Amino acid sequence: MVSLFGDLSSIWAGLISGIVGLAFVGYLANRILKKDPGNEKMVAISKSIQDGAMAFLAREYKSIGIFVLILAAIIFFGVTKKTAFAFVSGAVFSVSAGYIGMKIATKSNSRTAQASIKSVGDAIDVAFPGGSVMGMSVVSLGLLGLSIVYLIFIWHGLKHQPDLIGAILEATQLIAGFSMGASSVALFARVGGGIYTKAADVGADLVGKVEAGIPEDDPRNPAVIADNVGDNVGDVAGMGADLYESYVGAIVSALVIAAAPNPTIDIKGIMLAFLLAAWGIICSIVGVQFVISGGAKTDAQKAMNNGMTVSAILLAIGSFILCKFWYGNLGFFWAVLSGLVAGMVVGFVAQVYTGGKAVEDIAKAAKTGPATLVIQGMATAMKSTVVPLIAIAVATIVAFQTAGIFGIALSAIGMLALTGMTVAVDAYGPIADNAAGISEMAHLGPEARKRCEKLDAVGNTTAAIGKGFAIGSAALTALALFTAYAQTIHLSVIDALNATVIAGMFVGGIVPFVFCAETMQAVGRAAFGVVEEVRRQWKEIPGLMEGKVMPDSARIVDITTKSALKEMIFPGVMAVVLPVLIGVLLGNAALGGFLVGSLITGVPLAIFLANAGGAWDNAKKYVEEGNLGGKGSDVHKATVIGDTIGDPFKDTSGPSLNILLKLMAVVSLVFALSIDKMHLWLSNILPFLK
Amino acid sequence: MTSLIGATTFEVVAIWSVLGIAIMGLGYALLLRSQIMKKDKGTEKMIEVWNAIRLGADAYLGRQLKTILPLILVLTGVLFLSVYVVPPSSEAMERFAGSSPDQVKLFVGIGRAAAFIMGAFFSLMVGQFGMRMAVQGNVRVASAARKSFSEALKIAYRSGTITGMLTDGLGLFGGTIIFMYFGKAAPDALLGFGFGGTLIALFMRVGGGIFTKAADVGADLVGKVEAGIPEDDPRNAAVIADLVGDNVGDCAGMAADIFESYEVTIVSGLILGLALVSITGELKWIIFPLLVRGIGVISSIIGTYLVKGKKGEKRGNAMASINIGFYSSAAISMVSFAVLAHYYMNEWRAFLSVGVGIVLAIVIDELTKYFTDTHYKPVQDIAAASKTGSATLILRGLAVGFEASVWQIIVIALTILAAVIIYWGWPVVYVLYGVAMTGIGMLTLTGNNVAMDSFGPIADNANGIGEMAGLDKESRQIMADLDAVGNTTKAITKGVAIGSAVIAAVSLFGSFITDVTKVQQSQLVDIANQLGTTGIRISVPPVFIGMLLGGAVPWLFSSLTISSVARAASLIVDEVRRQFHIPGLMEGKVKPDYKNAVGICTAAAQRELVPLALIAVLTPLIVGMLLGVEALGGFLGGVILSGQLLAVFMSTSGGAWDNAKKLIEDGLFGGKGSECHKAAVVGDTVGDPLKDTGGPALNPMIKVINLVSLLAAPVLIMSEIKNAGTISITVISVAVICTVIVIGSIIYSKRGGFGKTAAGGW
Repeated sequence: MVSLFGDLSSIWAGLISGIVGLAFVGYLANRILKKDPGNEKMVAISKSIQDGAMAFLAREYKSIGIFVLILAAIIFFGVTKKTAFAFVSGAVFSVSAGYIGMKIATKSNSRTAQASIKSVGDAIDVAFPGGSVMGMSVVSLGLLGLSIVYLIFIWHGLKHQPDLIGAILEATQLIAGFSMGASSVALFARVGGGIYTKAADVGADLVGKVEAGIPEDDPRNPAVIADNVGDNVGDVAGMGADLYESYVGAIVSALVIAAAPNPTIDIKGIMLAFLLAAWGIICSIVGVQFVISGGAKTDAQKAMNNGMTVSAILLAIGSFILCKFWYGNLGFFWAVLSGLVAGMVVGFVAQVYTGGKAVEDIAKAAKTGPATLVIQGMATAMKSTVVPLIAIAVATIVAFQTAGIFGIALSAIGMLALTGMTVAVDAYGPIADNAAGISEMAHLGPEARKRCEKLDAVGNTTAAIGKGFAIGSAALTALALFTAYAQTIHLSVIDALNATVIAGMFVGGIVPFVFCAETMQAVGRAAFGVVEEVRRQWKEIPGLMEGKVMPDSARIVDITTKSALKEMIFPGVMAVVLPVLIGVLLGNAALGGFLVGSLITGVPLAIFLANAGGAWDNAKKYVEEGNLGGKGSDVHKATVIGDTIGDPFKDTSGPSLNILLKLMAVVSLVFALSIDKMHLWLSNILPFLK
Repeated sequence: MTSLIGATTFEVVAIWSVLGIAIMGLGYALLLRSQIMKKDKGTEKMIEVWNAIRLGADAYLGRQLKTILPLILVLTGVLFLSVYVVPPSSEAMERFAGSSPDQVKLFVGIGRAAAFIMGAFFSLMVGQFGMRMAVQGNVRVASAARKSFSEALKIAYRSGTITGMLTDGLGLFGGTIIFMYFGKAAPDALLGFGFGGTLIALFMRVGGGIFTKAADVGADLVGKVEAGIPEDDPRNAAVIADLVGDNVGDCAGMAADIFESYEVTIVSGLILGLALVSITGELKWIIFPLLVRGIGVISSIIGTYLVKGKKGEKRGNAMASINIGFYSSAAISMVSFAVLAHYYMNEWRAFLSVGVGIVLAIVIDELTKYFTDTHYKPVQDIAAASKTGSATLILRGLAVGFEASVWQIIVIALTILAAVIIYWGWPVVYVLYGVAMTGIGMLTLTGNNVAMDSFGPIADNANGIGEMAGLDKESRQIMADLDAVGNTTKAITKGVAIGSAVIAAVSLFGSFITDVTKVQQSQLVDIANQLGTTGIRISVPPVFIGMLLGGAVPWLFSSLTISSVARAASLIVDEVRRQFHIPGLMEGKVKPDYKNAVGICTAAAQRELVPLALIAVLTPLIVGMLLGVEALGGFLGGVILSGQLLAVFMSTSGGAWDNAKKLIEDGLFGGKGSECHKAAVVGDTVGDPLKDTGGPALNPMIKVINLVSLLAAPVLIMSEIKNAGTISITVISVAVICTVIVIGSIIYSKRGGFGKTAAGGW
């Protein structure tokens, strides 16, 4: 009799470390809630941001609910019942992580603003734990959910399967649904959230700063709250869901590849994936704690870098021990390490191209007007695609040479094991940003505002790293999922000379471009709605422009949410339907070509968009700091144009591509066998499809 | 002829006639030249302006020649030696039966090196001679415009036709001669020929693109935007550089680009045709493309000669006359192809493939028009977006560009699919042959296309000369009309250039596969491991990685070309600003020093040439050495896929912004001087380097990378076999050296500038 405990102890380790992570989340949340939320006005503003964010989430979750139910029904009847269960669980766990993270993030902002009255250090002491809640929830709930569902499947499988191998094999086939659930939520959070955040931002800016000539974050502008909500929606919930998806996707692809008879099923490999992920959570906890207790108050940037380094070293040591002594294959360690290093390189490159000299050069280009600024920014961002791609290439080759196909998934795990820490560093940015907004609206005085802005500046650098990392990990995860897909359908050869594969590749290659065009225009349309509503309120609500009456912010949030969700229907449906369509029409090899094509054009495009947007944003900030003429100068005006162009680049289209790539890969994985059957059926009717 | 064993009398005669037609095309070019040189050059002032343009153009061409000659010499040596690594093909042994293998190697090596030089030389001729002719033409157009519209149109179009016929004649001549001498062993030499042309085209395109846009953007920024003086105002020191730039970019660059596609399609057509010959034993597969090309030259001669306005007219429809020429040529060729297919090929498949090519040219044309013409929704939408400022205008233009690239790639995919359908049930090599024939068909009317394209800068320059020489209003109107037509014809050829580049690259890709398989067969590689059997397995990580890296190269390349425009334009701005301060200049009393601006652009264009060429030549080698031939195949696929998307995206966005600006200038949304117009000018300036530098440079790059891979494939296979499974220190160190050179090139190109002034960007 197989014991669920003895033989599968490492899955339990995953489960336990998930619980430990959640306990840590509770500790952090408790710590934040104990802080002073500030005066009445601050509490009121914070509450309206929180209400707005929660209203957005509520509406989004409703849409996700419908979407998930429909898909679950399709999976239920089209694939298997259990896959549908895994799918729903994946979505539920992701939604919970997003909910917890948002709740705490929106509670941290006024507390950060309050703390900033004292000092920058005190403010960071609130903001960073606030971000860490999101990070730790993502990994804890991700691993916890995955372990629970996997254990249930094995437990249930043991009832009708002859042995453990059979049960594991069955469970692994089903678990891909979990990853798809995560992807579905991420789709909404990133694409819908991305459209929302930029529609609010662009709309508020256009009507406020440009038309009415009132400053940013002015309380008379009804869109300001929506804008602040947008920061949370995009950078906290969106980033969280994105990395949750990558995290789960990396582990799931490792499970699938290890469970493929290649030549034999590698149960120990499956266990290794869980152990590495579990150890990663512990490393992240240590890293976060290191930042909080070790000098965050004095030098935040340094503390975060140190925290990152500590957890990375711990992870490296732990995976060395696990691979070498527990598993007995040093090659696996190199695979893990290659992913870890590639993740850091990708993040670092993003930082280089969106800061320092690159940004100064772009800002200087604004001296001859917006056109040259835009050109210079584009050229820089195009260049920035090269090194990350090479880093991913090298990581993949190293992983493949040292550990075979399984190595690719291991390297993705290596890159994503520290997701908790990465998201923590990243999600702190919007909290600081919101705090700056609150101190402006509550008139806390220039000192506090300045401190918050300083905090925000630190956040910007880390945000750039986070964005780069999100893309890099998305690419590697999508690659791992693609490999898992090829393993699942026993497709040893996807021949790029085969006509259907070429067709698949071409279609796959254009999908990111279509997606970009769609999301970019969606922002414009949604922003227009915001502008109209603001104008209406100014006209119809007496006393609003004089500051006597508060604007109806909730309505703006509602309108923006609605239009964002409406705008994402087409791209969202496209991402789910296209892979199935290609697979059914042209067969699984063509679907493989399709996935590869999407990666080849999608990854550079995503990096390009993210870095161009980031660089223009920072060029504007650089000028606002007083360089090249400072605020109000012609150079500044030019950089504002660049920033506006960059907004949908970096916050809507770019991040959405991460989701697109992973989602298409995971849809292919989940539906692989069904697609295959349908294609056979179809090509029996229409023989020319063979 | 020993090279044509088994040819029928008809075939021998046919080939000789093709050669004759090629020479006839060249003769026609010479005839036109002498006609034009006889025309009047106009007033002294016009000649003065013209002289400045001519000297600038000469200086650019001279300097470029000096920069690229050393690289050409080195590569000639490398190509010659490359044959020593691989044993000669059985076809070569057959062709030079009676000689020892060593002698055959020598013959092949010399043949390849000589063909390379020939290809490079012909391409240079097309670029240099064509551009010089265009410069000769422009002043005469301006002069003729004082008298009549029809005369001006005729001169402008015929000056352009000279370049067109050179492209046709030289391309066909080279291919035919090589084939006549080497027969079935031709691929070895043909590759050299193609590579020579491609490399020069890369230089012409990159150099020309940087030159023209540095001058254009610089002149506009400081003139129109800052100083508020009109375009082509003689007080602007960059104005001559701008006029020279039109020739350098649109004339020399575009002609070399199309010449190269023309050459490459015939090269890959012959290589794939030879593969079919060895399967079927029939020579018709290689004779057919040559005959098609020959017919194309004749119909171009007839069609281009038909283009002229009605005598004595003051204003006329230039576009209609040009179209008459184009459609007559198209009709003549279609009918002749059909006859040829029926009586010679005895089958319709090849004809259909060629026909698809002609249809493709027209479809791409319409597609380009839809996305970039002022009469359609996309450009109107972009113009409307200017109401909320330049940011929204740019975003809208980018979205349009993304969308256009999607449609164009679908069209190309359908074209390839058409080849698959036409050769349904036949082996892959037939399909690839079909694709090559599509490319040949698409470029049938190269003579007309290049004529139309060169017409653009000639009319543009004539207009500029008219403005600077202060001609009367009526003749200026004639030139403005011609100029407007020139803009349309230029846009059309741009679409054809990209489309043909992709088709040419796909046929080269096909040649790569057959060639690699052939070498593997000759080296007795196990059939299960031959590329023809395995295919390019993108499911294998190294192959996938090769593809991913291939996808990144176009981004890098575009980034470098665009940045260098940015840098050079900033230098131009500084220079013009400096000259504005010369006392009396703004009042028009003192003439600015035009030479300096030309010098800056020339230098900027030259310094990027070698690094960019090295990147294009070495990256496929590195991938091949480190990841293997199959991964190199993946790399090529990645380059084609992402390169085409990016190229179409950039040229469409740029073109659409340009026309959105024109739409507003015609009076929409407040017209010239309004806020909307300012926003549109920003968009236009952003689009300039995209559509004329970054985008077009990708066409030759895609082809260079494919050709290099084709040339290097046998060598790579040999070393793979030799080192079977083990890691070779030599290979690794060569790869490392290449990588270091590439990185060095990138850094060199990135640092940019001339001393410290330019190091900081703008």
